[in-house]
Amino acid sequence: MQIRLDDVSNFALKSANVTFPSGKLSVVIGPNGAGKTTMLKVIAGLVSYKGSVFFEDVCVNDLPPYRREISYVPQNNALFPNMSVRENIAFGLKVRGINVKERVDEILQTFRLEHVADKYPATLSGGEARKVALARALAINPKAILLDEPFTNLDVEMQAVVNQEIIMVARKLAKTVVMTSHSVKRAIRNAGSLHILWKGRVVFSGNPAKLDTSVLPEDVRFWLGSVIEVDITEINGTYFAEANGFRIPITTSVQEKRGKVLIPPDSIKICKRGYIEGRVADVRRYGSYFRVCVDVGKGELYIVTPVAVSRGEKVKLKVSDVAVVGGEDEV
Amino acid sequence: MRLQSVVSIAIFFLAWELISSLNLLPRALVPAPSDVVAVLLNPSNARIMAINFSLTAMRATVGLVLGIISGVSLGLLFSFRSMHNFIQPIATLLFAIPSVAWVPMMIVWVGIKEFELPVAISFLCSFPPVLYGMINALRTFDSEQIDVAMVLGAKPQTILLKIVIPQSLLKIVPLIKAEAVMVWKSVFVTEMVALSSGLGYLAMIYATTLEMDSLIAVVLILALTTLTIIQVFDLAERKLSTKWLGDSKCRSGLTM
Repeated sequence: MQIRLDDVSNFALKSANVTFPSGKLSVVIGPNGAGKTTMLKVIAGLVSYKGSVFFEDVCVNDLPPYRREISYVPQNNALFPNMSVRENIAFGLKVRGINVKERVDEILQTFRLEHVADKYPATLSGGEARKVALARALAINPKAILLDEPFTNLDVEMQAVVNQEIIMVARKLAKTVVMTSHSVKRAIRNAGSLHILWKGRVVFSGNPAKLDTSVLPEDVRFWLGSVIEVDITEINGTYFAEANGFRIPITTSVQEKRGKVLIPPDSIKICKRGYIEGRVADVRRYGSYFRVCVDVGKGELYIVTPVAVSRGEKVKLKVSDVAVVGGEDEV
Repeated sequence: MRLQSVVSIAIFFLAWELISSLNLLPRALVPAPSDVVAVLLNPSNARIMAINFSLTAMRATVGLVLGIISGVSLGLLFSFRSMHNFIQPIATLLFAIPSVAWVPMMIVWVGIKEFELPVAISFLCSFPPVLYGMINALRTFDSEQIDVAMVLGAKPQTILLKIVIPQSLLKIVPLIKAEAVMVWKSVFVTEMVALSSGLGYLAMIYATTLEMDSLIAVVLILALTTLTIIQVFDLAERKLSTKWLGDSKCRSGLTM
């Protein structure tokens, strides 16, 4: 089911226009307070708004949350603590008068939650609780699922587990999934469609492979980083992004030989031993920090640094991390 | 009750028995525990005490139940933000009034009526704290749970009955426990000063006639009743807390 927001405004959103394609994983990114959670709540019908929300081509403005045929998983999971895992999952089915037992067993099996079926939420680990919240959302067989920061408060291992579950929901079950995240790296890696929300406005919406950070507003560029085209090589099992004489290690496996990488501002350092040479194209002071734009030949890198530099100065940069745009195995 | 508690209470009664047996204190004024037990085992005394106990229990229970039902219902009604801001100061003010302070006012307003007066007082003991507790429990309720339930298809009454009320009640169990004890104490005081039946009335009669063994027996019944109430509430609270909150510790401090 395609979801479209047409000129939606409220206390957090300002004339938001965005389309979330059917059967794909859409990721909404933005800093804290950008309006990501509010956007999900608008889709769910949980907050008031001006403008229109369309499911396919049907305006759902007048539909209450329970008639929108979607599910919502908030950041804190909001499991009902007075109900067991089984009762939590069965809740949506029971209130809809659907045969519960078989469907709950099926969902428990799908999410490998049989061993915690009779436990109460307070006794679950963070990852288990997130899986139960996902399972509860899916039990009613919604047309779309809204996930608010699903990786928050999970350790790296559990993030990977939950990640797999979300991929399963989006791909195998062909559900429209709209997920918010403030983790740019994770989002840009494999979102079917990417949406950047900045102070209530959608500043980018589309395929992450088409993201061109140079056209984004300055504040967004210095939060998001820069996307540059690179060659991808493999040396002794390690992947590297190469461009213009510099080489940056990539931590994830990559199939393509050429691609785009996002270099977040906080992963770039100006230092004498840096291996990327560039020239300062622009510098602006923000409190005790400087926003520096460095031309590295293949594009511009955006850096937030306490090091004072001047326009035109030659600098050497060190990059600790990059995120490959597009891929197969991560959200 | 832990073994340590049983041992300490046993030592207390043994020491008391010893002091009375050795006549270290005048036995007429401080009878031995064995004298008190003898009073309780006497069929005619036991019958009188059972009748008066049931009267006190009925008065306390009716007022308490009415107070809980009214407090929970009005708490839910006033949980809307606009009404909440209006009612919370009143609930806080009522909550701050000591329970026994209602006794003289109720004697004047309700009159010396054997049923209505103690029920009114036990109601006023329990209603303000439950209302106050309910308003605060709802104010801090996780609104995301309500959002999720709405999206899953639950109607408002289902959300209230299945999610909001059970969780809010758990939060106010410690308050209800404290007030259930206070209700008994207040009804006891009311019976002492104004009524002609109930445990409080009996205590007053025995004090006047200097039947100290019977008086202590009545006080002991009151103490055992309130202790039982505390234990029952503690057990319920602990079971629910362990199940729902994953916490086996009792939170209120009113434990033995």
